[in-house]
Amino acid sequence: MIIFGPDYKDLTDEQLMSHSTSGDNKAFAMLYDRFSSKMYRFFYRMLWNDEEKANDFTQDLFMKVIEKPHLYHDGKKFSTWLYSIATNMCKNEYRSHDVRKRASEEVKYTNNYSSSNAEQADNDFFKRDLHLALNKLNDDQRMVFIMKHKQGFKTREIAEHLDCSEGTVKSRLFYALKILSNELSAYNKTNTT
Amino acid sequence: MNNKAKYDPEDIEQLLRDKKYIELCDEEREFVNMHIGSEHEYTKLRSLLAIVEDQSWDNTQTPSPELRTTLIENHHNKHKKSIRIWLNNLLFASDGRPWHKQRVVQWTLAAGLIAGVILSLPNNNAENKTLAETMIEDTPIQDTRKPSPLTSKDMANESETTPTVERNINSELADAVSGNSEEVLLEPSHHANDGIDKRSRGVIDNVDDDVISRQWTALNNKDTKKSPENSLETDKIVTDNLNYEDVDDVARDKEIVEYEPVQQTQTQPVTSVSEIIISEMPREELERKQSIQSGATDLMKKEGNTSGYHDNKSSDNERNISISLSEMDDVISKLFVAY
Repeated sequence: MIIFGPDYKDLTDEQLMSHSTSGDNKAFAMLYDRFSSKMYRFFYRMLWNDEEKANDFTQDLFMKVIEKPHLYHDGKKFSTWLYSIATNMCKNEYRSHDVRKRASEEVKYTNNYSSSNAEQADNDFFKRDLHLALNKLNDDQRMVFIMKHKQGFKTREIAEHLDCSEGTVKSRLFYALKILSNELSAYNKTNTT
Repeated sequence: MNNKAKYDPEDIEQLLRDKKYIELCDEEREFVNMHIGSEHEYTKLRSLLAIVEDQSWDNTQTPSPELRTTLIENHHNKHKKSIRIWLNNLLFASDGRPWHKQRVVQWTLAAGLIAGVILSLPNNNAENKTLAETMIEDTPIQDTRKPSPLTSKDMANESETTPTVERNINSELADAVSGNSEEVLLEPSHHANDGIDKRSRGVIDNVDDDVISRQWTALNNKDTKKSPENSLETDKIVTDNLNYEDVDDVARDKEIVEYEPVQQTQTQPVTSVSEIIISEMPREELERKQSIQSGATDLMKKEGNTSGYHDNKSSDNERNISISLSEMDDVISKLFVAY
């Protein structure tokens, strides 16, 4: 006979999802607390450091968790399922016509900024230039790079989230690094010394 | 070729992270040069990777607090709505079906059908129980109303041929009849034997002349309470008992060894015994008894014709029974006189 409710802190993500599907509000709140910040940062970096867009995408993501729980299959890792939804949302956003246009304008602007102030840039400048350089990557390369170096996923986990092989992930990472190296060449002189 | 087998392009990141260009062995350096143009580029990539990995990313970014409240409310409302939608879907289809195809109507019909079946089952059982009880109660009534026809032969072989129930019923019937009538006429076999023994011992001294008339009066009073059909059969039983047992006793007392069971119409053995007894009687007693017998015979005929005791349809049997009874009375009376 169960007198006390479950201790949600001890439950796994998959167990919380099961409780949430059956209408447990606390389980859903615990899932939100575990993943909301990660997903917000993911969207923020994937969508050109736009806080408002990151906030909207985070809300849309969790609304899909609420309204379409049947898309989640038991036995699959919850974080993998969540990131797969998030990456698809980002891909859809990239495909929209105004996104490409907006990205190209920002790149033009930031390139001018970074080239003129590269030698005096401090750590904040480098961050900004790095975010701008990421926009020059294609979608797959950007996603892999962000998940690897900003989200802290291992190569195997990225391969699971993106439903591809580990070799593909490593290759995308290498070519993304080459592109970024060219874009951030101004910092190489100072950092390599 | 060997270098390709050992290293893939995706492994260059590991080399960039771990080794400087000058630290690479020949095989590794050859592999790196296939993907990276020069030592300078290798150094640039290695420095960028170090910057990216050492970069303290801003992990303090969080979504707005209102977003959490909004999502939890949506989750709560979603599951509340789902219950209401489920109930609606259960009872009413929203696809514009006619009323007779709505689920609530179909559920109601199904429930009514099931309830009707359930309610009909106990009624059937109750009817069966009533029938069973009626059958139990009717069984003895049927046995008493329709006893198996008895003949003198059946009475002789009673212990072998008659079922236990029928024997009991017949014996009770014979006892009941004998209890309301004179013992000489209606006693069962063992009573008759006792009566003969008493008479033989002289216990019964006086046989009044009105005995026979009282016997018939009692017998008629008894039989008027019964249906003609039953009374006829009862009389047959009594008559058979009387003929058979009494004659048998008489024959046994007189050491007449052989005796055949007397049929209703077979009065010849009795007659022969009477003749034997009468031949031994004194003349005075014989005349006295003959006068009594003639009076009794007239009385019997008169009573028998007016009491409705006999069945009109079976006049032969009636006549035979009357003759048998009268002759048996004669024999008994003569026996009394003789002893």
